[in-house]
Formats: sequence, structure tokens, C-alpha cells
Amino acid sequence: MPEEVRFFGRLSLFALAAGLIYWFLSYENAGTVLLLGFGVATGVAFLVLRGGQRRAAPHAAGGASDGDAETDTGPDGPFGDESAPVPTRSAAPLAVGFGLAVVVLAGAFGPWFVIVGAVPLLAGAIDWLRAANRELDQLSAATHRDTTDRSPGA
Amino acid sequence: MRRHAIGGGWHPRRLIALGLGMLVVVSVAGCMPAPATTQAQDISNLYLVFLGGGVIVAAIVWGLVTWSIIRYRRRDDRLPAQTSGSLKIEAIWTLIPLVTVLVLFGLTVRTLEAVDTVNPGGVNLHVTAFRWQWQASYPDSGVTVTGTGGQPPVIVLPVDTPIHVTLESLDVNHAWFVPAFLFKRDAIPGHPSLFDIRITAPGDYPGACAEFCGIGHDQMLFTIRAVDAAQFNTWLADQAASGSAAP
Amino acid sequence: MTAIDAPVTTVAAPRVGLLDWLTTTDHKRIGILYITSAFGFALIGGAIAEIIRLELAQPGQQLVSASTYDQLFTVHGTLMLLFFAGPLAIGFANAITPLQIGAADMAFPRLNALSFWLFLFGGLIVMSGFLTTGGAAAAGWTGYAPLSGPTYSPNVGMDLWIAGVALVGVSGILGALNFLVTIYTRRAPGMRMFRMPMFTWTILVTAVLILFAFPSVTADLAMLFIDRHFGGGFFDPSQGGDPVLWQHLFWFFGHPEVYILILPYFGIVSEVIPVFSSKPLFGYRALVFATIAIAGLSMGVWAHHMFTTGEVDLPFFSIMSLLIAVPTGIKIFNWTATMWRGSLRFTVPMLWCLGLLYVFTTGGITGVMLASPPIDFQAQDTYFVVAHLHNVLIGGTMFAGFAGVYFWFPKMTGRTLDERLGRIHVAAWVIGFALTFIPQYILGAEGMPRRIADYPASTGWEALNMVSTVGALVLAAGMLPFLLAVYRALRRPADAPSDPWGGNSLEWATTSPPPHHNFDRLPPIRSLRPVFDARIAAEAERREAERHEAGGS
Repeated sequence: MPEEVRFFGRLSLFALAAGLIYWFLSYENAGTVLLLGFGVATGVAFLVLRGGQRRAAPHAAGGASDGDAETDTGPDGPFGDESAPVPTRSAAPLAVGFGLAVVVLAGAFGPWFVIVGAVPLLAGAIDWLRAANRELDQLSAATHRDTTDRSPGA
Repeated sequence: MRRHAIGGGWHPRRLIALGLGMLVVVSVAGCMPAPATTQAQDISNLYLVFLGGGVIVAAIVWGLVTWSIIRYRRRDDRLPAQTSGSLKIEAIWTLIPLVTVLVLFGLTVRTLEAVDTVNPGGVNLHVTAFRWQWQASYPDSGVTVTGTGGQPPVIVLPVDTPIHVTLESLDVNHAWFVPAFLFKRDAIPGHPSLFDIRITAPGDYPGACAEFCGIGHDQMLFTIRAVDAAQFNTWLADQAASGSAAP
Repeated sequence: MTAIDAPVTTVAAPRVGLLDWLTTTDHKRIGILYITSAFGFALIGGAIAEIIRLELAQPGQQLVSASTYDQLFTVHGTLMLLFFAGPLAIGFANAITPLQIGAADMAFPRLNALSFWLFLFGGLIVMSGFLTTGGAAAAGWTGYAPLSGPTYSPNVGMDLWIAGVALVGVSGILGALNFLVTIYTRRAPGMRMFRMPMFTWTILVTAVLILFAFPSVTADLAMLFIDRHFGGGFFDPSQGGDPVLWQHLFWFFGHPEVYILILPYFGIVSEVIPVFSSKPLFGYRALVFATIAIAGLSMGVWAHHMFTTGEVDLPFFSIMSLLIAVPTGIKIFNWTATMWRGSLRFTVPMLWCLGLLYVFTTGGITGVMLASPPIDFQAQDTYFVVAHLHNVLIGGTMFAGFAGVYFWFPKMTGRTLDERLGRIHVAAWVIGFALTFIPQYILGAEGMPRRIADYPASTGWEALNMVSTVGALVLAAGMLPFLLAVYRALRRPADAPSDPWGGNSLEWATTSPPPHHNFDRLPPIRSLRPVFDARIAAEAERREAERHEAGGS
């Protein structure tokens, strides 16, 4: 099993064990929920990654423990992801960031900040999504590979 | 690749800093206040063990690093042996620290039990913290001492007697801290807190709030005045009779 | 320097304008934005520290009122921890990690830029509290309820603090996701997990810590906000709430947070020491597992910040906290072993790492002391803790952070920082650290509480406070050679070679600074040190060629 997967498995086992021990030592609710939550979340990550790895490379399931094969990394490996075109410039992150900052100021100064902040936030988000979709289309057109759980260079 | 013959200019400076550092670290030992309760004595003993262990660890690490700096300075272009690890050495410097911390944990648990022990009898003290003063009351006799404006309260207590303290807060988190007792406990609203102390020597012991509680935090002081049991009883009787809150 | 050193092009880089910086999605530029902004916040946080130290030098309230003082230490802690130390690490991670794994950029370049802007705006929002009539937040960087609640901190500055911290939390979470996905999916062929440079490993582990720690404080902040504005009673005993709950959720974040603030910097040390020892990192696998162990354990120690509440299971948190000393010690021993029988070059980055080995060790030792509840009963909430936290954050985080700056400055800008100014910087900070914080250990052991604007003259604490203040001024002065070195360097032409130090990892396999797409070609990745391997191979080739020539003539 590749290290990428094991990594989460280890954390999950540790956190679940610690959470259980902590509960029986202290009967304290908040800490137990947090520890067990951490354990469950990393456990889910472990299972998802293991499932994804097996789907991508079923014949390598019994293979090397930490990715000994040279092809286990990079675009051909179980977690590989062929490079999307690298986006060069975009004002969307600044717009979304600024908009979100103004929206959050509503907490201090009142709800109408949400309206002010929503303008750059939504404008940026729409621009971002459009660009991402464009890139995804370009990528699908350029390669005929099956893009399972690809993320379109968000 | 640039060659840097740092040489002599650096070693003396580093070694001096090193020496000073060690001196100071050791002098920290003398800087906890002299323990004034039985619990404080236990804590002080534990602290000395940790401090001793710390000095040894620091000496080992600093010694090894200093030796490396002096002995393994680059002298020529030859590539040294490219040793990349040793399972045996890793095991050694994993196991020895592991055993060390387990021993420290054992000593910690023993000291905790000593500090947590509640002895029967003795005096009850009820301390209430509020922004930004202290109120101490003696439930058994109805006496109350409250600090005012510029006058922090003096809390009179008997020596060589178990004192059962109940600590409460009326507003935000505070903490009751007496450095000479090597002890503090948080006063958290909604969570009355109980602990025991046993003062070993008479004297005046300054105390302070040790949980930030607002702009008056640094003014929230008090004094523990420890007197022998007879004097304490006299004082308490006087207070009850006169009904006054002055120490 | 190496076979890869032959520059592909020598076209002068086009001048980069403001618009380029505002719209960049290039991880290298975003890294520079993070690092520069982080140092900006550090300078402000440091100026605040100077005011604090000047106020405390003598008994009596001389410079600022207690109310201002309380705002100052709150913003100092918040800026330094959340807007300097963390973002500086993210900045290095941005600038260097994609290079180290042979990638062209991060997996999500625009999300990367968003993370930066959220961090920047968050910090500005926190500071904007000073401009409001009620002043900035004044409940400490830990924001304990009920003090931070509606009754005792009604000022809007407290809400601004909540907003700013929430923003940087979101920034961190998005960045962590980005690093996790990038490291998992964008490694070059041959770059297996156990061939990744140690710095990249620490970024991976730190990303996981961020993902699991920040939601806890974000929830805490949301609950506090509800208490403050919607009549909630999460932390109000009169409504059935519990102030201790704030502490549990805060420290479940707060403790992993301090490991978030040290692990990437340990990673930097693991990069620098092998290069300037001409030896591989000793015990690479052990260091990887030690890093994972530290991260795992760090999720289970949070209540050692709550030992004095009387509300937590002391032995559980004590043993977990003591155990963390073991993998941390492994790191220190492995670094020392890397230097052992090496060939040491005392460049400025290496001097910073040596400084860390001396100074951080004492911080680790006092950390072990604090892990013992009886000792903590004395030391908690005193200057002993203040000294400990600065010991590890300055002697660990900042020393390694400066090492990273001097080490990677040539790669990121194409210019090298002046060694002599750098040496003055190191010396000033080692001496300044000792002068500032060793007295604070003593003051704390003697019983000086923290977060106090003033202390009575009768305590006798003035002398040590004065020494500490002098030390703080030395630290401030020590920043001048650094700033001068940066200023001077940036005015020189960008002519640094690809590999000025004789490096090991892939960032040294491309030009300084790298082209937009990072690499024109990669050396073969067959070990932990691909650039070292290529250099050795090129050496061997050259000697072989010379031998042939000599034989032929």
C-alpha cells in the first residue's frame, strides 16, 4: 500500500485509540468528540484514497509498499494527475478574497456589508468558474484520457 | 561554491554564549521561591529533578554541536563519508529519551498524588475572585475579608494546619496564585474549584491573579499572612466579634 | 556549478508591475507575496513588542495605559503567530515545494492566490481594531471566554479580531488542501514519497495538521460570535454554558498550531544542514516518522494549556506531552549526526541552524518541565511560559525562518544576501534572544505573572525586566543589517547561479529565479538528492573526459 494511503491510516488509528482511551479516563465530551472526529476524518480519507488507488491501479494492488515502481508517481501513478495548463494571471482570487473579507466585516459592522462584499465576491467567483470550465474543455479536447476525479486547475 | 573561513572569530563567541547560557540555566534553580507549603516542597523537589535532567541534556547537545563545529570544519574539498543513517544509533536515541520521559512521568504522578491529597480537619477557606479584587471568607466562623480600591486583602491563615480552599469566580476567568506556594488554580465562573494547602512557615506571602481578566488584572493582588494556629484563632475570634473586614 | 547549470536563456526578466503582483497565480510570486507580507506583520508585531518591553522596563505606568497595553499584547500575539510565523512557512512552501517535487505549479494556482489575499486582509482587519473607538481586541491572542464575550469585550475591535482570525483560518485550510493535493498528485516521475525532501514532508504533515486543527478554532469563533450577537450562551454559565468549552476547542487548535509553526521550520533545518555539511541527512526515514509522530501526538496534548483549571485529566495530557519530547529529540540528534564527520561550511544559513541547535534545545527542555502538571502549577501564566514560547518560536521558528531566507533568497530573486551583514544579524539575535528571555525564565520562576501592564516595585523584578528590555532593543537593532542586506541585494542585478550553495534537491536544478514553468528539464530522480547525484555524475564525466584527452595527446 503506497505511503500516501498509509499516512492517513496511521493517523486515524492513533487518533481513534487516543480518543477511546481519553474517553474512559476522563468522560470529557468536547475532547473526546474532537479526537474521535479527527480519527474518523482521517479514517475516511484513508478509505477514499485506498479506494481511489485500487481503482486507478488494480494490478498493482499487491505491489511495492511505498511506491517502488518508478511509475508509481507522476501522471501514470495511482494518484497521478496530468498537469493542467498552468493559469497565468487572474483577478478572480483578489476579487473573491476582497469580497469575502468585506462580507466577513458584516460581523463587526452590520449586515449591509454582505451586500457590498457580495459584488466582487460573486463577480470573481463567476469569472473563476468560467475560466475553469474553459480550461477543462480545452483539456478534454486535447487529451482523450478518462478524467476521473480531476480537478480543473481551480 | 564560496569558501567561508569563518574560523577563530566565531568559536570564542559561541562558546562564551554557551558558557553563559549554562550558568544562567543553572541559576534558574535558585529562582523559584523557597517553598512555604508541604505541597510546594514536593513540587520544588520534582522541579529540581527536571532541571537536573535538563542541564544534562543541554550539556550533551551543546557539547556535541560545539565539538562538531570545532572538529569538522571544512578543511579541503574532499567529500566526507556519506553516512546516511544507523538503525542502532536511532534506536539508542529513541529508547533512552523514551525511558527518561517515562521516569519523569512516574515522578510526576507521585508528586501529583502528594499535592492532591486532602487531609481531614483543619480550616475551610472560601475565596471569591471578581474584577478586580479578592474576597476571602471563613465559612466556619462567618468572617469575611474583602479587598478594596487600593488595598488588596490580607488573608490570615494558620501554619501547620490543613486548609481546604474553595475557589470561585463571579465574572470572568481569574487565577489564585501564590508564588511561595508554587501553586495556582484557575477561578472559572460556573466551576468552583477545591484544593488543599498546608503552610509550613509563618510569614507574609504575596499573591496575584494569574489569568488575564481585563484592565485591572495587574492590580488584583492579595497577601497570605501565615501565623501560628493560636494567633490565627485569636484573630478569627476578634474578626467575628467586631464584624469588621479589616485584617 | 552543475551539469544543469547551463542557463537556458539569458533574456532579462521583464519588469514586474503592480498588476502582475495583484493577478499572479504563480506559486513563486505568491510565495514572495506571503513572505514579504509576513515580515511586514512581523515588523509591526515587533514594534509592538518593543513598546511592551519599554513599558515593563520599570515599575509604574509610563508609556501606555493598561487598556492600550492589553490591546498591544493581544495584537502582538495574534500577528506574530497567525500572520507571521504561519504565513512565512506557507510562503516558503509556496516558493519551494513545487520546485522540490519537480512540478510546474501548485495543483490549484488560483486557490493559492486566494489563500494569500485572505491572509493579508485578515491581518489588516485584526489591526484595524486600533482605529475603532473601543480599541482593538484586548482578550489576549487566546481570546478566552467570558472575557472575550459580549459583557466584557463589547467593543467592535473584538469582532474584527474574530473576523480576521476566521479569514486566516480559511486561508490556511484552503492552502493546506492545495499543498496536500499538489504533493500527492504533482510529483515528477521518480519522486516517490520517500525520496521527497524533508522540507516537503514537513509541509505535507503541516497541511494535515492545519486541516484538522483550524476547524476547531473556527467553530469556537462562530460560537463566540453567536454569544456576542445572537444571545447565545455557549460560554456563559448563567445560560448553562461553560467557559472551559472555549478552552478545549481553542487549544485543540492551539496546540497543533504551534507544531504547524515549527514543523516546516524543522524542515528548513533538514535542508540546510546536509548541504553545508556535505553529507546526506542522517536518518531520513526516522525523521519522516518522527515528524508524523509529532503531528499525531500534537493532536492529543491540548489540555496541557489547561492544567491549572482543575478540569482536565492531568496524567493523560502529561504523558502525551512528555512523549512529544522523544521525536523532537530524535530530530535534534539526527541533525547533529548529519554534521558529525561532515565537512562544515559556516554560511549564514548554517549559522542560523547552529544557533537553533543551541537555543531551541533549552526551549524543548523547558517544554518538558511544563508538561509536568505540578511544575506547571507554578509556571503557568507566568513569564516562565512567555520565555518558553519565545524560546521555541524565536530559537526555533525564527532562526530557521531566517536560515530559509538566506538559503533560498538566491533561488527566489537571483541575488545573494551579503554574508557579513548576515553574520551580524545572527550574532545580534543569539545575544539578543539570551538577554531578552533568560531573565524572563527567572522572573517567571519567581512568580511574575504574564499579561500584566505593571508590577509593584516591592517585587524587585525591575532589574531583570530592564535587562530583558535591553535584549529586546538588541533584537530590534539586529533586524537592521537584515533589512539593509535585502535592500542592497535587490538593487543588484539578478546574476546568482542555479546552485550557489551546492544543493541537493530539485529547486537547485533550475535557474535562479526559475522560469515561469519552473523546469526546462529535470535531472534523473533516483534518490533523495537528485541534484547532488547529477553533480557527482557530471564530475565523474568531466574527469573521464580529461583522462581521455590526456591519453589521446
